[in-house]
Amino acid sequence: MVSNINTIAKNEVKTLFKEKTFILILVIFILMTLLSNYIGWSSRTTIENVFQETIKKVVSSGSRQIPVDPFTGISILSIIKNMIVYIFLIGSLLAIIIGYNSFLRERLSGVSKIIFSKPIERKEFILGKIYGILFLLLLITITSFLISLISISLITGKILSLQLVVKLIIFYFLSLIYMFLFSIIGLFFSIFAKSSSLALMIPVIIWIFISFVLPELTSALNPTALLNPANIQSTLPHGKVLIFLQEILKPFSVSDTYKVISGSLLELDSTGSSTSALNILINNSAGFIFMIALLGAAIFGSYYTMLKFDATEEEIYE
Amino acid sequence: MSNFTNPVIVIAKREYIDTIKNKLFLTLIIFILLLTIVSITVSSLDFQGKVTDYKNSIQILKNLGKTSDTQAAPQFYPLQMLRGIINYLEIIGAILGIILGYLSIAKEKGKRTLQLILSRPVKRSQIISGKISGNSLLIISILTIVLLFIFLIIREVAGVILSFSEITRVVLTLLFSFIYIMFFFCLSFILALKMKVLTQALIICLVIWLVFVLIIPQIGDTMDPDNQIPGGFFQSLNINKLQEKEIMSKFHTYETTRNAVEESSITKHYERISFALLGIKDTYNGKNLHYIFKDRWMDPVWLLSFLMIILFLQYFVLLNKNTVSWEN
Repeated sequence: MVSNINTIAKNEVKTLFKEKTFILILVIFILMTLLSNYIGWSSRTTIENVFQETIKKVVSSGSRQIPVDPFTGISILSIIKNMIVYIFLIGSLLAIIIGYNSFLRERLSGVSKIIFSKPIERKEFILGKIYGILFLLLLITITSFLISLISISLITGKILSLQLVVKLIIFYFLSLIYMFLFSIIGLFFSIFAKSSSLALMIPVIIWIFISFVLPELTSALNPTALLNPANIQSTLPHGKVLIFLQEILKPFSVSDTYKVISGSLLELDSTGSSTSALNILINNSAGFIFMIALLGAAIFGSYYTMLKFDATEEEIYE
Repeated sequence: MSNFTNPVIVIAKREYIDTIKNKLFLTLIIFILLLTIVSITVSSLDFQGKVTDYKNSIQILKNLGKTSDTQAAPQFYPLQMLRGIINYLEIIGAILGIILGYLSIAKEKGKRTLQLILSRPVKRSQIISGKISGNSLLIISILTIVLLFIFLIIREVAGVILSFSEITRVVLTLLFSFIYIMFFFCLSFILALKMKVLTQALIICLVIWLVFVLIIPQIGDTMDPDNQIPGGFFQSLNINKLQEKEIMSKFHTYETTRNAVEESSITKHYERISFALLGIKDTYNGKNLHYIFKDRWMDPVWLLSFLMIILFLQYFVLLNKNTVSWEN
């Protein structure tokens, strides 16, 4: 059984590497990591200069009150804060495409009809697919982690402390879980949906719901404000109804959980450096457990749907 | 040739009827309408919460024997509640356009009817015009439903009946929404027509959507020094708008680059003109339409230019035999 799963997983990886789509995804991911680091560095340098100009302005106006630098105590890891938004935005959507492509390819080419006539059990097949997807996401995440680590070291001119490296590793591990969740949602609909456009667009609608609608209900922030990393740690709505909604929905809002934990791991506020990675996870345990439970449910859903999949189905329509 | 046999009208009519029967299309419409409700309700609740917070803080100040002159009361502008809807139209409106363009070609390729239509005495330009007309009408129908929803929900949730002037502004905003959605329709139409594998066309469309709609505006926003801190960097330092302008004039290259990044996205132009018309951007709140269009004329021009270029490409692709991929 294990060898069959390995063969399917290897085949999945090989096929995706041959396809232009995966290469495109990998290139986008590398570009977005580099872009994130550049924007982080550029905006941080500019804002420090803007602050110095502001001080000059305040001093020349004769004011005795010199403003405090709002970035005092903000960690160097915050340079890659845009990565949080890119993973929750781009990473998760690309993960859907990887999951969607994984089985829909077999259905469109008619391979799904042939493959189950061979001595391969469906559970081996789906587990092989899942391992293959996980391996690819792991590859993407490791590449992105290494680029971030090297970029931060180059920008700051020093090697990161062990504590910061651990936080960076946990951030990327969390990102892997987050993307894996969306890829499995994509996989589930590629097995379940009757048309190829529905198989892609339903996960995209779910993605919009998770990324924008739920966070709007828990923070009253409009969709574009949710894309600003500065708003991650400060989402407090006004009014009893919205505060009540926030308390109820917050643990179920997976993207909020991802952004809040990631924001703490990358030490986006001044208290971040004093909190250990373990404490960050404990403080957000309800949301984190729900994220894992959702991932488990998506894996089980894909597994169960594959067992029930009608291999004799007529050609899938657009 | 009478109107009833005009191929453009026949194709447009078929396009309209086929699409409204499509499950995916219906799902998206329901989703957009639900988001309209959620967005206005959340904005209204948030505003009510701000008013309550304001009243409470005034009461506390009074109890402490202090004056409350320094704190301005939250002002209610019903059209500002539409900020979320504009954001959703930016995101889901574009997806709607992509789906319409994709479905328009996918159904023909799936049933191999495009070759059949072309074997009849129908010009290629008539096919494109028919498809564009049918889908334009469909998008206008959807935006009209959204307009009715906006009117009803604002009345029910916030208890406000929009004035004629306010409705005019919403209608103009929806007109720009139409141009914006049509851009994505044409983009997906071209890709579906040109590419051999339809699903790949859809994936590439989504990647382009991601870049134009979410990434470029996000980069511009996060590069903005004032957006580095919740509530605004300059506000946190008690710097007024005039001083802010003076300070930022020393970072001209950085600001020009940031602006150029934003200008390259059709979404940002759509957002800017919509926010100006609806008074979401404070600078334009309470200003008349003449002032707004005089100040923001570049955004409608950009929007129209984007649409014209893509429309030209659309005609070029189908009129040029060699650029079309017939197979699914």
